[in-house]
Amino acid sequence: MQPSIRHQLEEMERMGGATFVEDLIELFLSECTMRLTKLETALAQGNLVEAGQLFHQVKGSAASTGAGRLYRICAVGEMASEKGEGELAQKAGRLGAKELAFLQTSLKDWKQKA
Amino acid sequence: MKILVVDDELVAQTLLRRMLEQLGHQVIPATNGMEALSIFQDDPVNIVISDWHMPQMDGIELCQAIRTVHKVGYTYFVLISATPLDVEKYAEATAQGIDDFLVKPIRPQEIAIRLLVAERIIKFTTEIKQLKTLLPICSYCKKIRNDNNYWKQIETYISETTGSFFSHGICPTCYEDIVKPELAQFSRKRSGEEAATDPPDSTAAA
Repeated sequence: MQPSIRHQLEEMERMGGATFVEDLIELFLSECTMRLTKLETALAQGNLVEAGQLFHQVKGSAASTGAGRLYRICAVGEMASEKGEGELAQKAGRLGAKELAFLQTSLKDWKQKA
Repeated sequence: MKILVVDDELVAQTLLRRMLEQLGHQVIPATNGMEALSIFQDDPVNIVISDWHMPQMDGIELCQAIRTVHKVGYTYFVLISATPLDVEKYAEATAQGIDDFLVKPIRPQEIAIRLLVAERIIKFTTEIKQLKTLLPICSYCKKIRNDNNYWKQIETYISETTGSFFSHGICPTCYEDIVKPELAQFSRKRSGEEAATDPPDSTAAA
């Protein structure tokens, strides 16, 4: 797991307790899954305005949880969408989905160890 | 304090709510600018913490709308962004009415410090407003009654309340109406006194 995520989760646990962190992880994963699914549709339809908004929202969630890689991928996707670079936006979308899948596994492992 | 938290991104909103509640504040959540504005119109809070980029109404538009709502007391507006801002964006947002900025991820200590500043500013603006509104003043001698029910000279009151000092002068109207006549009277009196004490003219006596 990325150190930045671990650090953020530990800080959240100090603040709100283990249950709060578990709930937040669930919320993060469900929100990102939902948004990235919508993003796939938006990109397939060539709707870069909506894609940009969705990248921005996932970027925000990633920032809040310390998920630096997902944050950077979404930042690129957001910028590409704003500039009308559909191909790059699609690539970012695919990478984002991969990164989320990776995060799902590592966050699940973290919860189990905790 | 009651704080309106506005963010369409639920993870950030949930985190921020918990931080603020841990600090003892009451949080009113909203997931978009329009909802936040409606809530604010019914219940104008003193602090708003809002994400910048939101669909339909972004954080800056929300701030501008909130600043047009008539309320007692100042509303301190904090803008949150997931992206670090450059100087131009800070300047633009500040010109639009934003008081402070935070970048995600927000740390609990960071928000605690910012809210301390917010409370201070709200307190000072409230005091200034009280000073500017109705002051009980004596119709005759112009003394002002302070919060402890003592009547004080206007200069003393203002000096104690604001820390200002006075530099005394004479306005043109008072110079014409009061000072000039007094000087003339003084001159006449002096001339009269001098005439009374002058020795008689020796040539006239002879």
